[in-house]
Amino acid sequence: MKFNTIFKQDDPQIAAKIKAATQIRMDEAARERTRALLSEYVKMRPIRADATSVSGEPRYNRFSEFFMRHSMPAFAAVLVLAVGGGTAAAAEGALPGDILYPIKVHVNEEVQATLAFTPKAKADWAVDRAERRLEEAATLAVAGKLNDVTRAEIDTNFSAHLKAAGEDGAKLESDNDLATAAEVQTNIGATLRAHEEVLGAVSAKLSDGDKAQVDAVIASVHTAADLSAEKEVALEHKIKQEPAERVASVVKDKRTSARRHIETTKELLVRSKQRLPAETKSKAQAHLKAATDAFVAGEASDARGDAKTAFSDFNAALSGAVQTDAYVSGGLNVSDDSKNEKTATGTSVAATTTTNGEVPVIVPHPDEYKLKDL
Amino acid sequence: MENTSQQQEGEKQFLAAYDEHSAAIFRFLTMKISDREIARDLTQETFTRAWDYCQSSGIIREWKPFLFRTAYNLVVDVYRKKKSVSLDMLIDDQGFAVSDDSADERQTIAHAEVARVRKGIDQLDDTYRDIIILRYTEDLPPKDIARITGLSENVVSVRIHRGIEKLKAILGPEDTPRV
Repeated sequence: MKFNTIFKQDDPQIAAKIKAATQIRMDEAARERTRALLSEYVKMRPIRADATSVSGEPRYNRFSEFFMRHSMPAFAAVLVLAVGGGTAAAAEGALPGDILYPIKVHVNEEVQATLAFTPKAKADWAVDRAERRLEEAATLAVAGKLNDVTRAEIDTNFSAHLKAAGEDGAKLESDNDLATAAEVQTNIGATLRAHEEVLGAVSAKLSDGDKAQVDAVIASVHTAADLSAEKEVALEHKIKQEPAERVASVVKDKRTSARRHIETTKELLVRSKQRLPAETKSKAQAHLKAATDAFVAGEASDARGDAKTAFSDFNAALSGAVQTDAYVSGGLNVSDDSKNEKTATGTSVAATTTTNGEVPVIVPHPDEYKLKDL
Repeated sequence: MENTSQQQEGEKQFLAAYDEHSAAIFRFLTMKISDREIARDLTQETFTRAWDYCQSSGIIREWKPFLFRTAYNLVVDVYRKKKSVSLDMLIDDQGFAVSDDSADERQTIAHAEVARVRKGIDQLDDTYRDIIILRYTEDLPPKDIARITGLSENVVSVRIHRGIEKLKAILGPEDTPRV
């Protein structure tokens, strides 16, 4: 049963008080000025001729897709018209060597990249794409289809995605947004380390010929992870040289980010525990425990006013949570029953979906979200 | 010709959406980032991004959740909260006033009680504060809040429930019903 059916009765008194207590409004002059600016803006940027007609079908479902981080973007509607909706959707499940694979990588994913506005969003999507390549490598390896040709294609794209993520990170650093640059680097490093581990587990189960192909991919990942670690350390050092007030502000952001990632990763683990192999589950729990321990250490460092150590602790917590998340996703990708759990985007999710295509989430007891219970 | 008509219709709907939702977006951003000047800029940015979407892909039919989601992402991706300011400060500050919309509520809820609830909301963790504001200040259903925050509908419902419980606990037993 959905929880919202249990909590559907709002308390009218407290609801009215909250509404009364939170009323803020923009002054009318500022509101009018902004309206005038926007009126000019829409004239400067007219609707493109190839945009979907206003008299078209309701867009609500596409709206949902637009906002799902890993789903096909609404922009793709235009391309879908060009290549055919079925083709674009089918391409999402394609692997290197398949005829539709170039559509997946060079059309669908490029289109989605246009939706990332900020350097961080661009970098995050580039890391997601690198992660997709590694999942494809693992899938092919398990199927005995990772060979020189498919591996070369994966390698080329993987390197290009990492380069793009690195460039976005460098842009953030040059803009002096060191905290976000560090977060991007943490995401890159933790994701790579997780997939190195997943691929290592895959490799251990293969015969010599197939194993050599996977090991070659692992070597690329390992090198990239080492480079990322160096950049991470350099950025951390740079941040710690900032004025104390600035470091304290970064620590606060890092704490929030670490906590959020730990919570979402715990939710992912709860949802996935029935479908993960015992060994993967055990390792994921150990990773998450380490992340939680680092978070607790960060709280202690912060409480005694040691902002620099707190930064390192929260960064370790964030890195551990991201790594666990990627490890669980990678583990699901190569699990025995993964065939039933793949979405059109290649991301592993719960085995069933709702009628509108959204992923249902099994909500654990609310107390399970508490960090202290991890 | 057809595109001109589409442009005119798009502009009309876009400005109507601004008239209808800009106050709510501004209110949400102000409470989220505690800075009225930046909230004003981000409100404008929210709408320019929405138009960019229209310009590339056509019409938005569900403006309210779309705009809130865009504003929410903007705060997460672009702006990081730098300071914490109480709701009282934000509301009493220059350029802000209690909305006329709340006149009815304020007639039935004493000023002291409103101030007490504000302080209570200030003490809520962001995890609950954002969702409580979206639910009760902006009247968004859990389904839309889920889309805005990227959480599942069930998690949103749980957080609404727990957020209210926490707020009641903060307010304490003197929070007696008023008519």
